[in-house]
Amino acid sequence: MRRRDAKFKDEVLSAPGGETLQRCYQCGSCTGGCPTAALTNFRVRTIIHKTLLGLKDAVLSGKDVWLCTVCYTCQERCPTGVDVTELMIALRNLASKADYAPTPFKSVLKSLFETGHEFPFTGFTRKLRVESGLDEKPPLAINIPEALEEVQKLMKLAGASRILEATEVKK
Amino acid sequence: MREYALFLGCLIPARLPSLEAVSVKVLEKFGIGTRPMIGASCCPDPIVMKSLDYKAWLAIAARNLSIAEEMKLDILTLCSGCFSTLSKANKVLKENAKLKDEIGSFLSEINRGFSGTINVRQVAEVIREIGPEAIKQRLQRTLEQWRVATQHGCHLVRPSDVLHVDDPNRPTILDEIVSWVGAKPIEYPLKMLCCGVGIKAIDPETNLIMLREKLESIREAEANCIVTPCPFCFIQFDMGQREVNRKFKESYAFPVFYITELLGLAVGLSPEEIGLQFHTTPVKEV
Amino acid sequence: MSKEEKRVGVFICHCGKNIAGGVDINALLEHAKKLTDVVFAAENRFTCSEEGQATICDAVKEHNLNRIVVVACDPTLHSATFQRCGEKAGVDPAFTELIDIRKWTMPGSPQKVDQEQALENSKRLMEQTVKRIRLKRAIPQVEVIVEPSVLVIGGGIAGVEASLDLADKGYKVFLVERLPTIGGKMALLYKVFPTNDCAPCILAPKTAYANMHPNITLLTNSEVVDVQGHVGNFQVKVLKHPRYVDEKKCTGDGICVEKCPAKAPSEYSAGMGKRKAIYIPFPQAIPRKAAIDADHCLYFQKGICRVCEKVCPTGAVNFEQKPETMELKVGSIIAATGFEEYDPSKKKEYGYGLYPNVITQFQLARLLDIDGPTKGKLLRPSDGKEPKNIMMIQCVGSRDEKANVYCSSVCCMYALKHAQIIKEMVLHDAEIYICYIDMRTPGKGFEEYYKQTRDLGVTFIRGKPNEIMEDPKTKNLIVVVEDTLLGEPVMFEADLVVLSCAIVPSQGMKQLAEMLRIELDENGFFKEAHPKLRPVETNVRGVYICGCAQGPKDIPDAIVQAKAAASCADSELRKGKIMLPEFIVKMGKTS
Repeated sequence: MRRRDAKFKDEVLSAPGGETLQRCYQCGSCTGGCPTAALTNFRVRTIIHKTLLGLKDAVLSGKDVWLCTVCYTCQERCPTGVDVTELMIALRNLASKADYAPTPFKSVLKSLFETGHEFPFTGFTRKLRVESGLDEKPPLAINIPEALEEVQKLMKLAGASRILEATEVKK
Repeated sequence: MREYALFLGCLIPARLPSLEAVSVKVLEKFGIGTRPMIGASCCPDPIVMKSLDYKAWLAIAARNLSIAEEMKLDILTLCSGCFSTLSKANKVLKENAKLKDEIGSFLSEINRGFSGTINVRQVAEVIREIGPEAIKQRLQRTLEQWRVATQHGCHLVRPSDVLHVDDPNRPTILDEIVSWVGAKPIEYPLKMLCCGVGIKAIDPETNLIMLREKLESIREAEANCIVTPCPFCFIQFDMGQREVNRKFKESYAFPVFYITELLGLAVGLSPEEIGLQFHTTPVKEV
Repeated sequence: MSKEEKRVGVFICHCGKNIAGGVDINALLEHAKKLTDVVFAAENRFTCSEEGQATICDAVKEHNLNRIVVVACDPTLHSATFQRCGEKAGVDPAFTELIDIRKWTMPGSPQKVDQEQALENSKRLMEQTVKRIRLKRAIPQVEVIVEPSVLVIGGGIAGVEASLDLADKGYKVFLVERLPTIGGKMALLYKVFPTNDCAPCILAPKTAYANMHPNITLLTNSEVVDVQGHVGNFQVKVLKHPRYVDEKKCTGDGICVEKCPAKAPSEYSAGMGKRKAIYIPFPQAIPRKAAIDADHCLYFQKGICRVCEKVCPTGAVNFEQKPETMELKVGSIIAATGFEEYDPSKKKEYGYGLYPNVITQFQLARLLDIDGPTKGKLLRPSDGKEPKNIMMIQCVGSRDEKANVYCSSVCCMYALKHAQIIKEMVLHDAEIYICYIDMRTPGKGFEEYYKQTRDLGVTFIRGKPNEIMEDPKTKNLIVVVEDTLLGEPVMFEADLVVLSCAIVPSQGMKQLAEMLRIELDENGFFKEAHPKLRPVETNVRGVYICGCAQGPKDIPDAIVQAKAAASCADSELRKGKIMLPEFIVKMGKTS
């Protein structure tokens, strides 16, 4: 027997990207074209249904929401105007707030906070840049401390930095 | 001389700098100038960062947009991921008053603001604007031996209410550019399938199976190379082929061209000038 | 009395709690009593009730009222009620008005405001109305002799039915049809649900009678180009396009068609077959007269041939025929212009137009028709082979934010019909799959029809396919659909895919609506005066709508609406004269 959280639907509806949740009439067009669905048990439509029913724990703690490749095929094809992909992202945001963000994703955020970029600029980077005839250190946030500070300040204001302190994802 | 604020993102300047170099070179040849965006950071990406914290994602994107607004130039991105993020952020901030105010208050703490005065363009769009005549005039090399499987990627054309680049179901922008440079675009059934990079870190096995399906479809259509405007699709195919070969005991060896690399070849740049030697899957002349 | 004294009665309605719960009735009542010339004011729980109306009549008599203001609900609901009630007591209907304050007080009303605002608004509206009713003069009504004739626009089943009803009642009917033949889409359906009757067979008695009825004038190949006037007296211009064949001389023997060397794509085969440049649309066409398609005729295009003229035994071919404009005077107009099938090439993900073996249900109907392009054999377009696996996809262009938001009503049933025809009559061993979101089979006999179809072995998959891909070698279609009941994506390889497309308004409705001065709804169909209570009337008196022109529906419903529209026209015209406001008759325009 599943436990319902009657407020979950409203949480999702008021999150950016979740506004169109209620339009879904479960036609399955989304899952029909989903590249991941064809190869795994990931079912977009079922996640939406569970969200509408209020099965908060099942949706947020599961691995499934992280299996979306964000290809936007579902959203493009949805006949009733649900922003399916943005909805998945809104669910991920809620999962992330509940400390369910996967580790590899958290490393990316860590890199963004520490350097202003999601990919590290290494010695190898500098070598490749020189060989390609470019400046070793391009004028990006990683090389301009004031710029990096601005990025960090924004992340703190938005509250993103707390994710770095959170616990591991529960499988 | 048309000028753009060049948004580099992270992947290209950090790992694939040859794509940065060839893009600037090739665009200049067609009279398109690019100026660096000083202090730009990661866009941030539309898959990881957007999922972890939407407001931080929006704020950092707004900061990048504000740099271009100060330069009074439209943004030119070399990466479809950056294109997706910056276009969507631009649209959300223009249309959602509540978010605009909230992000605006964050930006004012770093002495910045968002005005919504510039547009975001992807490099493939800008190349399409150059047009077939201007490209044909500068052709220096024959490319008719290349049978190209175009990988438009997901974030060039979808979602169509945000990115107005081409038809989201059957786009032809890349096929057009490929034919303008004298190569032959090949239709293949899984043309619009995602490259899978979004789940590479989460489920690497499924990712490789997806990639393999694409490669198989390309092989069946008898194409002999792949062209893409996105560095993520580029890495998936260029490096991913090796992993697919290892896992599935296959022997895929499609050379992968980033769109400006193809254009560079067409206008007579040498393979070294383009940086083809940096590719993982070797580019052998057909 | 020389200058008539104005004595206004104000009646404020509670409407139960709908009004009383949202505004201070007492305050409003007190305010009413203060207004100039208001000699009586009262409140009532339900003014529209018999008891409430009696209150008005009694007050009129007791206090000699000659003006009535009812403060209650939407005028379109009860203006007539109170006007009749007032008239009974001797007050000219022009001096009875109903004003709506309920929109400000009723829970659920989009314009609801708080009590104070509702009171303010109501006071102002009441003041304006009382002032107006004091100052207005009754518009003189004049008697107009009506034309005992009706124009019916559209010769499909709805138009034909309306014409027959009116003709039988004794009116002269002008039936204008754009195509060279009447019968509309029904003639092309092959069979109809849920009886599986042969469509042209059950249609023919009606169209044949319409062709012969002494009171009906059939104007085929014709269009309405101008409408002036008002109910009782419309002046209509009809443009008759030349068919280059003299209808009086043509016997429909078809010799010209046999000998004609020029071919053209056939509209009657839904693009899947060809006809000649001179053609009789289909065997049961009424009127059974040939017509020349100038765009494909060798004489009109190149100045050569004219074989048809030579072989016609009655000399009916006339290349010199010119367009003719006719002027008609009619008392009423019925618009029954039907529908078209949504063009699914807009849904690029389904590949219609790119993949030859993706067709629409209308095209399938033509293929199944024993008089169709393949004489009833189901042969798929790419290679003419009989398909073994057929997939039907529902809701293409319907229930779709990017196409048409409404449900087209008939597609579930006609998909079942085609599945039945294929299994029972054409390909017994074919596998048929129907991909649906909901199966909508509400009509009489429809649920039983659904069961029959399941019993025949048709498989139903609840899920809407996301896209269709084609195997370039076999031209088979690969359809991946999530079976939502199973919760799994399933892959199907089908030799033939049939799209159940939406019903959309037919070409030219916008221009016709402008001519008739009627409205279109948000989906482009003609708008009815009230969706619940007045489905065949429009905002223009004397102009009625019926059939799919008003919205997607099946044949029984189209016939019901046609008969209703005919009845409306009859009600207007049967007395031979009507009362109309003088200015309308003077201006010569519709109200």
